[in-house]
Amino acid sequence: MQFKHISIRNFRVFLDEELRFSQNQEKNVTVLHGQNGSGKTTLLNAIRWALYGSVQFDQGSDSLPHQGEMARAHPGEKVSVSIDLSFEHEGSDFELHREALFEKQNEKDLTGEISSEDVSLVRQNGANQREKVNNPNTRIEQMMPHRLSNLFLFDGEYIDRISGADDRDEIKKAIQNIMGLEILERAIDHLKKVENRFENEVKQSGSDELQELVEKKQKKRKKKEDIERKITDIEESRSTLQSEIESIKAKYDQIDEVAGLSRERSNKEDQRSKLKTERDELTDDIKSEISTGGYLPFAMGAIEDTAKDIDELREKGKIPSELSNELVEELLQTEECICGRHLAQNSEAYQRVAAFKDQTPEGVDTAAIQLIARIGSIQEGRDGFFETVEKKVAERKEVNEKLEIVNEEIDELSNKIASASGYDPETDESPEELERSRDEKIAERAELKAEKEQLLQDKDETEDEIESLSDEIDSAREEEKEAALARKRMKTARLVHQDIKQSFQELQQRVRSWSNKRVQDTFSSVARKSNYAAHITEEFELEIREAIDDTEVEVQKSRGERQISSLAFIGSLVSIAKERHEDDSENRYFSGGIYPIVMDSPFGALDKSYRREIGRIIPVLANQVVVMVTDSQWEGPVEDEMSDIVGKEYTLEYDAGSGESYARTRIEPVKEVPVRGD
Amino acid sequence: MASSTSIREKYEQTSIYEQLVDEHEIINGYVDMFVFAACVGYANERFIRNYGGDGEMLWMHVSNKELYKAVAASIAYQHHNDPEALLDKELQLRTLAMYSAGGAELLESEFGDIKGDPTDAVLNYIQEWDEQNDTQRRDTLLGDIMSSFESGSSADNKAD
Repeated sequence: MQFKHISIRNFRVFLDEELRFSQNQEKNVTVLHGQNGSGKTTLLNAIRWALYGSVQFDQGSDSLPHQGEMARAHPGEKVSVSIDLSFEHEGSDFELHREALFEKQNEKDLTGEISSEDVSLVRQNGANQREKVNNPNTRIEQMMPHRLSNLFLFDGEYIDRISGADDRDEIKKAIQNIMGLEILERAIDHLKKVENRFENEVKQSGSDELQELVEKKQKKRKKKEDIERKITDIEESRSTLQSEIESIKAKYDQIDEVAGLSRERSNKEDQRSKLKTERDELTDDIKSEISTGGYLPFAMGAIEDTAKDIDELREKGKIPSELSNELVEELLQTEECICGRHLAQNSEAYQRVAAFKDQTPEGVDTAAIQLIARIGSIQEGRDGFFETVEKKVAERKEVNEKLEIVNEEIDELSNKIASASGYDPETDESPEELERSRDEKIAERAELKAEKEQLLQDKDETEDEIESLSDEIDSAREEEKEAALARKRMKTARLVHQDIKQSFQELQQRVRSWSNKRVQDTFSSVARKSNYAAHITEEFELEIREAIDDTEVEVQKSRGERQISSLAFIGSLVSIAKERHEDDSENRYFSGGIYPIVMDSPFGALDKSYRREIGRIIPVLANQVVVMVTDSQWEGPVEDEMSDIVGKEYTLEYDAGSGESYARTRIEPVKEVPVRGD
Repeated sequence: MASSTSIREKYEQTSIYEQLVDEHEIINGYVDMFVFAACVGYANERFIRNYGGDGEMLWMHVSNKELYKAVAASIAYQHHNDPEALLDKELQLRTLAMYSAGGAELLESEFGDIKGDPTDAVLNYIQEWDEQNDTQRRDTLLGDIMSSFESGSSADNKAD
């Protein structure tokens, strides 16, 4: 899909406006400049409403009609809100028209109540042929599924959320959405219901024993669901707390007396996080050594005693040494048999003697020789174990010492911040108050983390109990034919459910791994720190890791790095969808598509260098990109990076209105497209 | 003789398996844990004749590592004092299972009460065991035995 043109009438601040999107392959970006409150988010929502009939405003009301038009209308009159969006999809041109009528309820009503909504889609066939598409909503859903709307029509907040501290669900959800696995998803949900239905049948008609087991299982499942709900709540609370901690940090940036101290503390916290990762990795290495070589010191006694005994046996001539092979080799080389006979090469006698060489001794003697042959490896293994472990323990000690120092430095900086003067210009809070609040939030997050770990453990245990109850149900004696049949069906539903769930997870991991590769490529092509790499982990977390020597250590993402990695992730999904769309094979479940991207304020309040990096990513995200920015976000590095690839450029001119007139925004084309170097 | 795929022995995955393998991942898997416990059991002369349990250890898994084969052969040979034990894989697995059960009990009493990650405690336990033994003398002796096999003369002669 590629947008061509949009006309907006009476949609919030837009009275009657239009714009044409750039479709130029070389200059695939359409830029809309607008100050805060000028209607950038409204324009994003206008596109969303045209496509899906729904909007997503994070702030304020969801009211759609232009207030001036509503004010002019009399009670009972209707105001029409409409959008015409034309686009090209797979070689055909389409015109989408969505219109809603809002009835004014009373004199003061500026919102209205929706009385009707209509949508039509027309396909242009050739020069003059126009064909009305039946079921326009379904057709749009096929062309650009609603579930994907967040990935292609998004604002800075979504970008933030994708790489949020505890938001692996967003990544998972996005991957799931791009894959379009709703068939499998529906099957999973359906099979769960089927299993429950048969389970209830078993409960009703089964023996007392079976009834009791099913009841127990249902209780356990309820318990598991409760635990899962609690875990979700905890994750949300932790995420909220993290955002609050971040916003305290942003407040410190506004207080001159502590801004530097806060930044220094953030750096130290990054350092601490790296050291902790390093320490954990060293502990993992020690564990791995214990696992592979820890048994050897305990085995040495048995090896030594056995080796001594074998040596004695050999001395008594009960076991041959490998000398015999050497003797055979010598006889062949000298071409003379032990009996003095000449051994002509390749002669029958030569072959017979050579055969002795290959003949490994059999039985006890073989086993004994093999054991002796391994003594070297056993000794090396034992020595290597202690050598490596001692080295790792020493390294870990060093890291722990560094950690102690960094912790002290952080404490010291925290004390300095708490006792500094100054106030947050917006809230009047002192650094002492902010610091107290921050400490409370950090402590609360830690408590929640511990609680979550306990819940995860409880969940594992409950899952084990459910599994063993399922086994007991499967093997319980059942005389009633009806109950036995229901049980059989229940089991089948469960097995199919498990199989499909597994396939679903495998597909999810496959797309994750494709996405991971692309995220790494995109991130490394723009990141300002060359030793930083972005990863989507197997747990669906968007991580940034720093390469230190041969290892990679996860680092705390700065806001800029978070935004870059999120955009790289979105870009990876867009390119995967496109690739799948162009690939005819293997598209049974995941057919992909070509989609434009519309983004509102992707630059946030980032510093220049990060804005430059994001400016570099944007044009490669999709075939067509629409970006909405404030002047301050645009000027400088972003303009430098993007001006060459901007095909269309507009400004959103906001007029607050006065007296009888209401606020409106005009979309004005920028007359001169700026050219680099001008 | 049974094939290596059919040789198997019962063993019990006691709580120390859960602690060291599942919970703290100090030992990579149950096979490694089984052998580790067997070596600890042998070193401390601790074995349980009537071992058993719900778990099943397959010889094919133990014999995946050459060094495990050498350890199994040595322990079986020493326990039964019979050279035939060097050949008998079933006997080797049975003997390992016996010592493994004893070793698991010992490990349980050493680390079972530790709250949190017992990695360092396990490491200390291994290091302390090694320090108690005259490693250098053992290394020399084993080196001599190997050389004697290579040259054909006995270790005792070489030492003279």
